[in-house]
Amino acid sequence: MTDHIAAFKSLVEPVLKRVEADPEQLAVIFIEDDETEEKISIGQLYSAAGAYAGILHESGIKPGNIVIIATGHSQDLLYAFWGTLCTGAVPSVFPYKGPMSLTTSYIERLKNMVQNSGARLVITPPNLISPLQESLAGANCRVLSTGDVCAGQNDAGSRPPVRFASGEQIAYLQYTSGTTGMQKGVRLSHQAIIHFVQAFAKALRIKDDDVIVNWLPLYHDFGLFAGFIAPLFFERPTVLISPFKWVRYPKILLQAVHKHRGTISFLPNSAHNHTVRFVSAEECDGFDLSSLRVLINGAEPVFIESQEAFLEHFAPYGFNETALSTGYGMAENTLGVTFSPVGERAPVDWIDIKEMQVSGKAVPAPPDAAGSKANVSSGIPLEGTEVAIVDEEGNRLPGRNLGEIVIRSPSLFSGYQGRPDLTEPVMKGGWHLSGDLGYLAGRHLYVCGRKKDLVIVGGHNIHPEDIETAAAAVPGIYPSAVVAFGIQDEELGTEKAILICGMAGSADESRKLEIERELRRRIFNMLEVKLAEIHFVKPNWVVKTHNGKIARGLNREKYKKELETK
Amino acid sequence: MTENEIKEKLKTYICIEIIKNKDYPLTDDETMMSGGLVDSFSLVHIAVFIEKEIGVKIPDTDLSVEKMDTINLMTERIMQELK
Repeated sequence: MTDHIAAFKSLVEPVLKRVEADPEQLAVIFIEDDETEEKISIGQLYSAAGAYAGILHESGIKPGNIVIIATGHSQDLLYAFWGTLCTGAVPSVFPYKGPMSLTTSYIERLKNMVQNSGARLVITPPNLISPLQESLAGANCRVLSTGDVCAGQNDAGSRPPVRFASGEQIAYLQYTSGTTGMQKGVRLSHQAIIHFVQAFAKALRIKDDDVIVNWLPLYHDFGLFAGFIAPLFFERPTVLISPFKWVRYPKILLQAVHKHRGTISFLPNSAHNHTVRFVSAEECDGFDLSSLRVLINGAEPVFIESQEAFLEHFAPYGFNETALSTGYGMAENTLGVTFSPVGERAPVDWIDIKEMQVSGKAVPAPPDAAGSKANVSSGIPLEGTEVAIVDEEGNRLPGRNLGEIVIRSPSLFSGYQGRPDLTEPVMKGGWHLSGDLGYLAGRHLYVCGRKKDLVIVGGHNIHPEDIETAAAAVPGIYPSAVVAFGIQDEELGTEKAILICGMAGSADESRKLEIERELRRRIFNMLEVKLAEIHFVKPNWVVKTHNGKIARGLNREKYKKELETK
Repeated sequence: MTENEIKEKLKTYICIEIIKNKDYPLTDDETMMSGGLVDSFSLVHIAVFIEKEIGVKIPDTDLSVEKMDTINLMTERIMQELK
């Protein structure tokens, strides 16, 4: 029922087609922060998008301009997104302002993104208008309040000016986390996204009773493409839940699955742990989770223990083992590269740990034996996507050999916004060098770690360089002896960020505490990441390469031996 | 439970379970969220702890940096419910 998707040339077309066919068709069930639900038909979505498109047009927004949507979890986000597309401009959804964010640091991050992307307009709620205007004074970027747009009011006459972009033109700018130096705007064309959606539909074997339930934020590629854009193409309803509400009450996802007979949902590994920990048996009383046929664990490394705990906890409420699915991907390939086949649990490959460490080979080993390790498959490539494993020189490696994962597909990005210097090293002969390590066994991909230094905390990518740069600027720290990396936290099912700082031996405890507080404050306000541990060491503790660069991997190993607290 | 007992309970829990350093000299007016000691997931742990151990449910709208950033603010918010 989804073969028609490939024929579309623009993201706007499927919405137009549906509006023409049946404007009453249900598109989104939007769950507000206060848990009230609103059903939005495709006609309403299009009409409200029209209100945005009209104002954007009047504001002088031209095709190809970048529009930042910083509305948080609200219906305005949905309307502003499609409204921007209807003008031929390029939307980019900005991270939501959480209950933990101070307005000043949020505005600072927003300003950085405006500068980095060259955006011409930012859409925000009324309460952020005045600090943002002040911050952007002098920049060639306007600010639009959601309060000034009458979206959502049933104006049947409102029709967007249909001058949308298509094909190789850019449809979306996906920002990966990071401060100015590391921030990358991933440029995705209409055709790349449409190809992904078509292949994703096939992989999921979309049926006419599917209902998608999503709590992931729409500024994350997983939430946006899997939870919002793909369902509109599938012509199936999607239930959108506030991510902050979910963090506080993870049971609302299960409640929505039960109530709306949800069939497909997404849950990064750490979210499995969070749900098991904070949803009690009493809260699930009466829930029927048997409709859920696919629960994709992605966006961070998958652990069998997290899946097992989830299964054990929720099987009594009808959760099917076969729904335990996985996926692997990155923004540079729109979203997904591999997904485990639906209808069966993602397979597990037991390998010999020692062989892997010594020879880089994934040699099968008996399950649950000492010296064996379970790797959960991240699935098989999407249709049209090729995955290969290469060595340091770029030579293809045979199956069961560990190497860098490289990808070639019609869903690949069109470069980083304004940064050809960053694009060039990750694209070789049409292949994207992922920086991730893994091996292939048959068609299945097993992801084992990263070549690039990246810390993934709860599905959010943090560049250690950003932590180190912020730390190096704190008085009392040796700027050349600062190193940050991630360590797996088994309790949380995700990584935690560790910072090691060189410091002169003369600093007393109270001075150290003062510096620790300053480090935490700065890094949280810049990156919204909580440092799990800070260690002060003598400057010569930090391991460097022969040309003076920080060797994060070696420092991680040294930390594990000498500093790790169990 | 007195105000001081609540403060001590919170501090012990946060130092051991969230900061993972029982010797951390957490002060009553130390900004824990904007100070990068507590993130949104940790705040859920704290809210559940307050509910179970102190018997007070903090409304979601008050689980924010403005209302919960320090031990003093948290205690003040809890005391409002106990009065």
